[in-house]
Amino acid sequence: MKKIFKLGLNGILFFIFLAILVLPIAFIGTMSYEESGNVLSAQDTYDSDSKIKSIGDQDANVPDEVEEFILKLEKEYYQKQLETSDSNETDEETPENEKQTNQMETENDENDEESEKLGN
Amino acid sequence: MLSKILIRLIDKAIIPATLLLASRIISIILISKYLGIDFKITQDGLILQNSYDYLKVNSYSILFMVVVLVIGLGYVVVKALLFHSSHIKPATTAKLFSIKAQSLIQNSYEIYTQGSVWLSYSYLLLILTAVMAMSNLVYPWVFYSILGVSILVTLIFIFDAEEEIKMKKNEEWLDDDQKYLEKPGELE
Repeated sequence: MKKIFKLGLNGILFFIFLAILVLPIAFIGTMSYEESGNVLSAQDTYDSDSKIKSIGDQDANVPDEVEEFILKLEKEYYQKQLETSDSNETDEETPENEKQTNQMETENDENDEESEKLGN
Repeated sequence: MLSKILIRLIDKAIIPATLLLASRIISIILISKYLGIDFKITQDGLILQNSYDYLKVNSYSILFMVVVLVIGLGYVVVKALLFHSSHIKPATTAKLFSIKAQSLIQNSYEIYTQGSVWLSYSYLLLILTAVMAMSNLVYPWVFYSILGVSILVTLIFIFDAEEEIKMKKNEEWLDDDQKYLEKPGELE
């Protein structure tokens, strides 16, 4: 009984010692970084070996409804981005940003045209 | 009832743990400010903006910890090589006593428990940086610097321990017969 009690107490001491040793090392692991969100786009590149069907791949036979839905979501996403960037940078809009927004708008228009063509 | 060695090890591990923890926190704050990197403190811990910032702050912060580790290990190594009670020079002893720094003279038990704690931190940091370097979370040169420090300090401790063992063996040959030794007040 006494031996078990002794062993238990020493076990606790050993655990405390290990905890003190590991504490500063474990604290290193508490630092992390935010991963940028991935947004799927019709303009994304794809691997030919990939099992994921892409609307850019003609052999994939993606249903028209799905294709339309993706393009619609993409349009909404860009519109939201434009709205947020407009609200944030109304005071200071650099020429580069203007170029980017124009590019986005033309891309959206092209996507609309494509979806119309596909619909027909 | 309680193991004296374990109590001694816990006692000797508190200061290094506090120093390393403080160095990590202070270094993250200083490096982030110096490099102009923003970070958030949430329930999940410190969160940086992107992986590139993380790599930089993490690497330099671990390097800062290594510097603290080197100072700690250096202190123990100096004590082991120069102020070890088993092989300290009489002149050094006299000097230490004259400047009232006799507490630096320590026996093997004190020095090796302290050394083993600092070495444990060194090896733990080595293992962690090895994993991080493989995952590209830290620059490889940080890992190599810890590897160098760990190997060097381990070798120094091995040589010191070997010298200690040699001395103990030589002491066995000494004659402990005190028959002809002058005892205090005997010849007066």
